[in-house]
Amino acid sequence: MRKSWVLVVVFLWVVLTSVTALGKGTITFWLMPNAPDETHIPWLEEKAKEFEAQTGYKVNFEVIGWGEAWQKISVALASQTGPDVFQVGTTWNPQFAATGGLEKLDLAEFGGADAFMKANYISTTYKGESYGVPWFAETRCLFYNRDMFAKAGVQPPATYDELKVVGKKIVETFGEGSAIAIAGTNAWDLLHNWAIVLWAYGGDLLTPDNKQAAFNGEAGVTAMKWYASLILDGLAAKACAEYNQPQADAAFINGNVAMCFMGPWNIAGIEQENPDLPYDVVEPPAGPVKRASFSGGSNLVILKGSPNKDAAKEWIKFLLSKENLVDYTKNLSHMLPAKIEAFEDPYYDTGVWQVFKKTLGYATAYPPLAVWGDIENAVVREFRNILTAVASGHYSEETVKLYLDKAAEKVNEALARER
Amino acid sequence: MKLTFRVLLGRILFGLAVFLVLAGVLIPYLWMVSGSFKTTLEIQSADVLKPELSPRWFPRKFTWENYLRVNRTVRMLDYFRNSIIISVGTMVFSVGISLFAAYALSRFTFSWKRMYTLAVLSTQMFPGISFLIPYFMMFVLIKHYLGLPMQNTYWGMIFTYTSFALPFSILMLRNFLDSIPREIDEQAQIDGCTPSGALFRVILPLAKPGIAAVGIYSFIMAWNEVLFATVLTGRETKTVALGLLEYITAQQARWAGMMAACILVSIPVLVLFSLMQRYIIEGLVAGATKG
Repeated sequence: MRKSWVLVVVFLWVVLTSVTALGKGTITFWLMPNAPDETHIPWLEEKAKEFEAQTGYKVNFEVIGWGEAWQKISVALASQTGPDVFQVGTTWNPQFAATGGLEKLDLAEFGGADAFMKANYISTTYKGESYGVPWFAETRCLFYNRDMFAKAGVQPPATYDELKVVGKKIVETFGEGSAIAIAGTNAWDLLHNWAIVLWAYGGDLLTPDNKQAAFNGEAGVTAMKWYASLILDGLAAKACAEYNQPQADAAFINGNVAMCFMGPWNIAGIEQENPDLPYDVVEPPAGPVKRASFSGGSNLVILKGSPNKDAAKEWIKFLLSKENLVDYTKNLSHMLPAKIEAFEDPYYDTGVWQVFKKTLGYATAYPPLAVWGDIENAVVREFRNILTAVASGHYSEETVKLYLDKAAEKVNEALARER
Repeated sequence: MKLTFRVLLGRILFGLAVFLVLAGVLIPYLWMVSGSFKTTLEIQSADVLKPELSPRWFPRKFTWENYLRVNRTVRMLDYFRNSIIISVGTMVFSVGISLFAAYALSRFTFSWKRMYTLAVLSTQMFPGISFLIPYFMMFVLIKHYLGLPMQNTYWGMIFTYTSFALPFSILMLRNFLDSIPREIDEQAQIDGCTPSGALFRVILPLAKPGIAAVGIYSFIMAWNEVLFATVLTGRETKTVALGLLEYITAQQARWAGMMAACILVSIPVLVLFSLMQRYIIEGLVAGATKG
C-alpha cells in the first residue's frame, strides 16, 4: 500500500519536472492592459505564434494591471526571477534601473537612440546608460468642442493668456465652469498637467544639473497661479479641484465643457461613449517663453537575471518592427509609437494625429532619476494643498509660493539621496 | 394597554435600528448595482453642483452593456474559474488539516503542547507583507531544487492560502471541540470505537457548525486576498480580486464595467454564505459562554 503511494508521488514528480523542462526556449513577457482583453489577447497570441515560427522561441505573455504592476515588478527585481522582458512606465524606468535589476542595453541594436522620440529615449536612461527601449508614447493636447466654440464666437487659443480670454467668453455663453475641465487632487498624474504650463512659462522642475528644485521660482509661481485661476475665475467648475483625470475627460466627452487637455487614448473613448461629440484637437497653447508638452508612455526592459536575454532582445525588436508597432499603437493601445519610422505610416498624417505627432516632437520627459517617485509625490502633495485651498476659499496671493517652497524643500531632501 | 404601547414602541425602535444597520450596510451595494447599469461616462461626469448631472439612483441611460461585456474588457470568467478552484481548494485543505490539529489539541496531551499552540498563534502577529518575498523565494527554491513549479499554479496558491488560514482555523476549531463534552468520546470508545472512529463517527457530525465556520473563513480569505495573488499568480491562475483591478488602467477607469463584474463575482460567495450562515453563527459563538 505504502509502496504504491511512493510510486505515485515519484511518477507525478517525473511528469511535472519533464513538463517544466520543456519550457526551455521560452521567454516570459509582462505587459499592462494597454487594450481591452478581447482584442489585446488574440493579438498577442497571434504575434507570439508568428515570433515562434520566426525564431523558435515561445513567448509566454501575462497582462498585469497597473495597480499591481509596481509590486510585482519590485519582487521580480529583488529576486531576479519572473519575466525576461517587461513593460514599464517611462517614469519608472530610471527608478528600476537604479536598483541594478535591469539589463543595460545598447540602443544601437534597436536602431540607435536617434530612431526614437527624444523624450522617450531619455526616459530609458539612468546616469547616461540605457536600460530600456521606448515602446509607445503619450502626450496631451488641447481638445475643444467645436459647437460650443462656434456659439461663443471664439477660436481655439494659441497662448495660455488667450485661453483665459476665450474661456471667459464661453462662460458668458454657457455659464460658470463650462470653459475647461482640469485634473485636481485625485489625479495620480496631476503633475503632468502643470508641468506643461511650467515649461511654457520658462520654468523647470529641477536645475539643469538635476541637483536642486527649480519649480518654486518666479515662472513656477506664475504658472501655478494660472492653473489655480482657472477655478478661481470660474472657467473650470469648483468640482475640478478634486477631479481625477478620467473625470475631467468625462466632463468634456459628455459635452459639458468646451476644453480639456487629453491624450490620444481618449479618442477611442469618445468614439465609443459619445460618437456625436463635435471635437477637434490643437497643440497645447504657448506660454510667454515657448510651447511645451509632456511625454510619457511605456518602455520595454529586460531583467538582468534573465537566462534568455538574446531571445528577449529579439522579441523587443519584433514588437518594434514598423508593422507591429503601427498596428499595436493604431488599433490596440491608441497611443503614439515611440519609434520615429512608425510615423511614416499615412495614418499619422490624417486629422488629429498630425497634431499629436507634432506635439510629441517637442515633448519633454521628466529627469531620469532614481528618486523621481519621491520628487513627484512631494510636488503633487503640495499641489493638492494649493487646490484644496482654492476649493475651500482659503486661497490668497501667498498660497502658491508658500506651498511650492515647501515642496521644493522636500524635493531637495530627495535629491540629496540620489546617488 | 400601557404594556402594549411599550411593546409597540419597542418594536418600532427595534425595527428602526434594524433599518439603520441594514441601510448602512446595504447602501454601498445598492449603489454598486445602480452603477452597473449606468455608462461609465454617466458615473464619471456626475457633478453634485449641477442638477442635470447630479448622481442619481436610477440610471439616466439604462444599459445592459456592462454585463454583456463582462468577459471582454477583462477575462473575468477565466479569473472567476481560477478563484473558485483556489478558494475551494483552500477550504478543503484547511478544514481537513485544522480538524486533525484541533482534535489533537483539544483531546490529547503531549509535550510542547502549549508551545505549539503559542507558535501557531504567533504566526498571526506578523503583517502579511513581511513574508511576501520569503514566500516568493521559497517558491523559486522549490522549483530550482525539486523541479516542482509553485508559482502560477493552483496548488501553489492553495498551499499559500491554506497556510494563512490554518492558524486561525485550528484555534477556532479547537475552541469548538473543547465545547463538545469529552464524555461523548469516552462513551463512543466504550461502545467500541477507536479514537479515530470516535472522531469521524461522533465528533465530526457534532462539529459541523465549527467546520462550516472554518470553511467559510478560509474560502473568503482566499477569495479576497490581493497582495500574494499579485506576486504569486500568473496568467493561468489570476484571481478575480486582481481581475477587478484591471478595469483601472493608467488612463481610464471603467467603473461601470467594474461594478457589473463585482456583482457577478460576488454572487457565488453570497450563495455560499446563505447556505451556510446558520452554521457560521453557531460556530463562531460556540465556546464563548463556556464556564
